[in-house]
Amino acid sequence: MSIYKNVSKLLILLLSFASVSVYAQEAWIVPDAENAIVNPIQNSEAAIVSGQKLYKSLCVACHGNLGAGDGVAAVGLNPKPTDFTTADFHKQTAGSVFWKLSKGRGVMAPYEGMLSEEDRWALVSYLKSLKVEIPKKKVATKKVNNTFLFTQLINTQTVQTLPNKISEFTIQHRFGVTQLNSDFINDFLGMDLGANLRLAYAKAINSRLYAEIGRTRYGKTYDLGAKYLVLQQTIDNKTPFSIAVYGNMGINTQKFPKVIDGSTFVDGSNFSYSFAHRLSFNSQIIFAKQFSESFSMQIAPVVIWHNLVAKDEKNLDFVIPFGARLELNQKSALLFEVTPKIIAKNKRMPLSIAYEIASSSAHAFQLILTSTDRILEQSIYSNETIDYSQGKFVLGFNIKRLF
Amino acid sequence: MKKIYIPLIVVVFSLFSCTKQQGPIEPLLVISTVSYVNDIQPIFDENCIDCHNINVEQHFGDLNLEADKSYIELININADYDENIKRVIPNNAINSILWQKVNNSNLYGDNMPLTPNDPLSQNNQNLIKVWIEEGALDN
Ligand code: HEC
Ligand code: HEC
Repeated sequence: MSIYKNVSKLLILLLSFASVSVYAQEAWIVPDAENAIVNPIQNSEAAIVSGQKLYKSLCVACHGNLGAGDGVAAVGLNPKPTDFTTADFHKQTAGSVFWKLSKGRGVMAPYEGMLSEEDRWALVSYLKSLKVEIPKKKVATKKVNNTFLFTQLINTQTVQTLPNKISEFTIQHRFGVTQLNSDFINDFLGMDLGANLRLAYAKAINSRLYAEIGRTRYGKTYDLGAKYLVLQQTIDNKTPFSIAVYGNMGINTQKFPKVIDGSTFVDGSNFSYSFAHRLSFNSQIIFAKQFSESFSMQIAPVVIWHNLVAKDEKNLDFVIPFGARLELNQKSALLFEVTPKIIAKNKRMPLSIAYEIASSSAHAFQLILTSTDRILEQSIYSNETIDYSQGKFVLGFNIKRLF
Repeated sequence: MKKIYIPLIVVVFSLFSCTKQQGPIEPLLVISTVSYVNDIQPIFDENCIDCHNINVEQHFGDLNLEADKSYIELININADYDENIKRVIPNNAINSILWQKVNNSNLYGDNMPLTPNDPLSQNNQNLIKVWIEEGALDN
């Protein structure tokens, strides 16, 4: 039975991967004749029990353990699986529920061909037996959950953590530095030039804390990070914004360059490379606010530390990235980032804009125009930003998936 | 709940492994006779051929700095950047675009290597200069 359960969960996940289009939640109209049909097995105790069994194995993944529409596979779905504990749901006739279950709509499969009529009526009996949850009076303290959709905006971190038990996979790709001149076409928009790539996997420890691991091509850098949501904005704005803290350690694994004998550190001691010199750190506090369902902004003081820097540079950099997300419609959004550098060798501000295409809140593709071919914040802020005043820029994309 | 230790370990680990160092400062070598094969080509190999290689050179000033190509592509060849300037004029570093680009003069477009945060070391710059001044030999 449990194998069956896992296989069906997997199928559901695959289904939701495939469901690229977004359905609008329109009224679901049931033919009058179907509406009038009464449950032939009545709501007998036995029918409810067998309905419950079927429900637990087939429907829980989307509709949730208690029927509230909050199953694990519900995360990316639009429209959301129906909540069976609302008064609205119970207003309809058994015949209507039976018909919807039989015919399906969107990701909700038509169960006509999969379950016998008796099984379907048993399910209807079970659904009808679920209690209506009176919405709690405390709606006022409802939290703002989706200030941003993912843990990163374009290059910067967001205040967002992951829902419990959920993982996030990210691919960040940047093409080479290019320019709008005759080379642009020749370079094929910079795609022929060197490219940078980061793969990252993040896993929720609970809904406020997640850990992540990433690997970036430049510097063959591995990075370990964690984010903790300290304070969460509420819908009534009693808590007007969210705060998260984030830390990341980069480990450069490239071969150290050759140095000649007799080289020294700036303080005069003998120079030799050690493991600590491979490390760089990124610590930040992120303040974010959702102004409306479709517009969020954030600001995040960031301290970057490199254990070893070149002779005329500083170990510490301090920058304040500012980011915003404007949702254009259900499927797309504009993202924006600018990073004033307060303490840094080169003060030119990294700038990025992106157009996000999301097939669901769990899956997005972002097309990026930016002024840095670096991806890890440690290297973005400590390296010189590309001179956009000369018309130079970098194109790239991010792909994100929650699962 | 055990997984909560992962970030904790990261934090503790990082506290123990923090250093604040700058360098290296290389002692200035006394350069006498420079060999193209033993001194100059290794500089290209380490710092330049990611961009200046046969596959992508057309995007990078049409210059290939790989071992068997670099010498003939440099000596007395007109620069792609400006036809009136030579890449290397033997005995004349000042008027060679190669030297001007590696010594961060900002005179002829981008400085090399095209990675602003790690310029060639002073010794490597000196080697290239002395090699040109000694006649830019293929030795
Ligand atoms: C892949 C996820 C998924 C699974 C699995 C799933 N459902 Fe659904 N279900 C949905 C979604 C999404 C909707 C809303 C569809 C819409 O409104 O277009 C829905 C709607 C329904 C409705 C209509 C409710 C209403 O009043 O509009 C019923 C009834 C229903 N599901 C029953 C079930 C039963 C019973 C099972 C198990 C046999 C099941 N579903 C399994 C996703 C799922
Ligand atoms: C990250 C890529 C990159 C690296 C690494 C790089 N270059 Fe270049 N190089 C370029 C680009 C792009 C151009 C053309 C732009 C220009 O001329 O301003 C160029 C042009 C040149 C030119 C001028 C060629 C001409 O005919 O105009 C010389 C000389 C040169 N590079 C030398 C070097 C040397 C020596 C190194 C290593 C120390 C190096 N480059 C490393 C990208 C690179």
